[in-house]
Amino acid sequence: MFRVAIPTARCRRAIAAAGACRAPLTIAATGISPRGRTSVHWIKLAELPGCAGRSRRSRIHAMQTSGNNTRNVTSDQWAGVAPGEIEDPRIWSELLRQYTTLHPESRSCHASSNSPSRRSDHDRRGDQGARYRPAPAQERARRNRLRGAGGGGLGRTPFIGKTIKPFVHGHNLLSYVEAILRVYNQ
Amino acid sequence: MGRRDNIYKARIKILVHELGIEKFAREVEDEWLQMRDSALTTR
Repeated sequence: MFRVAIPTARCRRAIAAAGACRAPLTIAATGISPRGRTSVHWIKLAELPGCAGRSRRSRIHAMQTSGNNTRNVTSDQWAGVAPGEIEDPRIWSELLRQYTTLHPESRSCHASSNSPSRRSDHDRRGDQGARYRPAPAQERARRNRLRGAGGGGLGRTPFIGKTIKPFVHGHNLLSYVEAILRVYNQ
Repeated sequence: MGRRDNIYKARIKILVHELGIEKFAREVEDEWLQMRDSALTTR
């Protein structure tokens, strides 16, 4: 699956751009989500880089999100440019996605582990209620200081995520997320 | 610890709800202390 984040305030233009990203694909089904993104299902891997490039030229961002891994599913359309953000959260999301793809702890989960990425104190997308299991990263006071949270989720049983650890240093992000997965898989 | 019997309940949110946040946080902390200084640490 390939998720394209759409700024809802620029919806008509952005949806047109997302459509342009999808248009040349061989096989794809596209759906518009109320969370401000469109998902392209069954995209061919060979076509993915071109689609990502077209997203970038349209000034929207997108990411590949298939498989059992820990990834940013909220696809915040303002990630990286939102006021109050201390640093670009997409770097952390991509680091986590790459590390956990094909990771055995992720593979043994029934479904993928979802992680919203937010690097400011303002929860503008309601990430605390987002559907995520290990939710690792939220900026606290300064760069490289993260807050570990988990147990949030929407869907049929909504919960607000709770703080597990107030401060996790950025260079411990991978080990902390793996520790959460290990506890779940024990 | 996570449930395997029902795919809709196979979520960390369900585990946290059943264990309680304090016990879950303790378990994660114990696990993390064993691997905190492993090769997973990025610089």
